[in-house]
Amino acid sequence: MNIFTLPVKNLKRKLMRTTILVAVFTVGILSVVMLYNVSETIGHSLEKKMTQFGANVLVYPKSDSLNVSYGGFSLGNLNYQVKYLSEKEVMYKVRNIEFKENISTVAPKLVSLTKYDGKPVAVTGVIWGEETRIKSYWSIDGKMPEQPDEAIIGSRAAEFLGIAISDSVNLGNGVIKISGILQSTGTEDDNLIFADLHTVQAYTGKQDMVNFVEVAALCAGCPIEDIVAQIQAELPDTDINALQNIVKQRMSTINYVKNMVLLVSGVILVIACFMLAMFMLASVNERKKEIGLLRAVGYSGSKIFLIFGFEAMIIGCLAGVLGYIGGYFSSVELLARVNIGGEGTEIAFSAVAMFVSAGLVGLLSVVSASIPAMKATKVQPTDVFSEI
Amino acid sequence: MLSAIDIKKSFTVDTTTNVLKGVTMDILPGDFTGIIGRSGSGKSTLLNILSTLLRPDSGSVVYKGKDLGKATVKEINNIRQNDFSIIFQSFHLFPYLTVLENVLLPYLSGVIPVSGQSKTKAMQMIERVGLQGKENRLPGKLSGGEQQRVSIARALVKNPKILFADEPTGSLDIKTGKSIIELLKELNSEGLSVVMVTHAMEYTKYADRVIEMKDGNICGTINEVAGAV
Ligand SMILES: Nc1ncnc2c1ncn2[C@@H]1O[C@H](COP(=O)(O)OP(=O)(O)OP(=O)(O)O)[C@@H](O)[C@H]1O
Ligand SMILES: [Mg+2]
Repeated sequence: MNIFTLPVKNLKRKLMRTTILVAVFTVGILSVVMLYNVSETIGHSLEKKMTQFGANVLVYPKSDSLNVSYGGFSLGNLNYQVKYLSEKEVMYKVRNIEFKENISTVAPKLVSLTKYDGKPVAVTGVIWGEETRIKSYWSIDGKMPEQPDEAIIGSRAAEFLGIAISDSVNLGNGVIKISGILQSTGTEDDNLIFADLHTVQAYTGKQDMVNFVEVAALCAGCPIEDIVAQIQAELPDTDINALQNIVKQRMSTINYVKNMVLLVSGVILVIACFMLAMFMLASVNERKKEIGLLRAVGYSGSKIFLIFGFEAMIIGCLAGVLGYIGGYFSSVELLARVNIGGEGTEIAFSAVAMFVSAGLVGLLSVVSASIPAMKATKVQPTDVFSEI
Repeated sequence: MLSAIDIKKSFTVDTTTNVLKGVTMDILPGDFTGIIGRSGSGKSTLLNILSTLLRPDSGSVVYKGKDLGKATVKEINNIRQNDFSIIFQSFHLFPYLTVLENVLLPYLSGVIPVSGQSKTKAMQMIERVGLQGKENRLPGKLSGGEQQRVSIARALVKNPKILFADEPTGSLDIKTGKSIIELLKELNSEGLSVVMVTHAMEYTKYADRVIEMKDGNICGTINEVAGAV
């Protein structure tokens, strides 16, 4: 038995009330934990999903003339002193930067000019697996290439050149076969032919050479600038261009989700704290005589504060632990039900986080209870003993 | 041991009432002092001032040579813990604590668990007030007289020098009240100073000295009443 016997016994005596309070507080914490977990996961998978709609970093050879970029790619330039990147080097180095977890896709490209029926057309060599990951909006009439010499053609190019499925196009010292037509995308893709990178390299005698590389990086964990800096460090002879508009747009979507969660969590916590404060205030008011008696036998004001603060802390810690556990299981359940998440997005149960949560909520409870507890310390015996 | 010198106290609710108008008195060690007087004459106010629960507007209370008006909060708490104890007409027991835990309350103010020694002391006090075997009951399962005994045991568990009692028999029937007073008298004969407010004249016979209050003043002191009856 010590000073904490009093708050513990009082909570036990009011078991019903304590239970309800802990339950309500727990629901609050549970919601916050759940919201947090879900928003982290959704943010993560949202970003992953968004990378399917295009890359956000471009890597291309250093150039003293005008920048070569994919959008508005100046094909004329390619005839003169074109510099190339090494496919293997770039692929390997970009995939192995410090933040490699954040690299979702690396899509190298080699653009090569050819003629069909006397008209010039550009053939872009791509790695299909990587390319389709950032071009999820592509839809094909016919079929995607399966053989190394198969290719697809943008709808405008097909129309312009009069190319149909299973037509052949000469390229360097080889021939590529059109297996599908890309439906209109509204981008430059409509004007191009896409073929397998290694085939294009082989036919044009440019083994291991690429013009530029598109990278899709996930920026939730770290700023894009860091990723760019790391790639730059690995590949000093390149120019790297982060498509800030795309990055910012994506981050603002994710941040919007996170800010909403933060706001809602804040509101829930404020309400929970307010409730606890009200409960403690009622508790102080109905126990004024007890406080008076304790003062009369020599308890100091700080001891009285300790009694009520500890009572609030017990409630807070209980709610913190239960809320964390409940929040964990309900977010797992919720994510499973709405089918969001997937690989790499599992929520980890952490005992440390649970105790931290209990500690923080406990502290928050003491803070919430501090006004009622301060009020308790002001109670004087002669104020509350009615027969005096 | 404890002296009140020219104590004045007034309360202002709508109008100002001068409750104590300059009371001077002494509490002698080992004395059983009775305070009587009509309702509203200021007995409780005086008792509260003597027992540190209330501060006078002017005048001083001197305990063991120290002016309590100049004492720090810590010193006052110390006196309340170790030197003075007070019991009331209501017993002010904690309904959710057992008899033993209620008696141990003065020891519960620390983070360090109550020692076995303190528990033994509490059990002795419970026995002393005649409640042996009931130490694990809750107050609700005790009679009024028994509850007052618990509050006396609680008041005495730390061996105070002075026990203040404000109408300790006020909510008890005559027979039970008498047994409580007799208990106080016994404790007094074992060396405890007792200051008791009462308006039951028949209890004044237990007092060594009776102070009568009237209109905020002491209007008379009757000495050695016990001997006279
Ligand atoms: N806290 C207070 N605020 C205002 N007036 C008070 C307060 N305490 C006491 N009084 C007034 O002071 C006067 C004396 O009160 P006190 O309680 O000392 O009388 P008492 O002699 O103990 O009476 P009783 O025998 O009824 O207990 C009363 O008129 C009472 O109304
Ligand atoms: Mg009174």
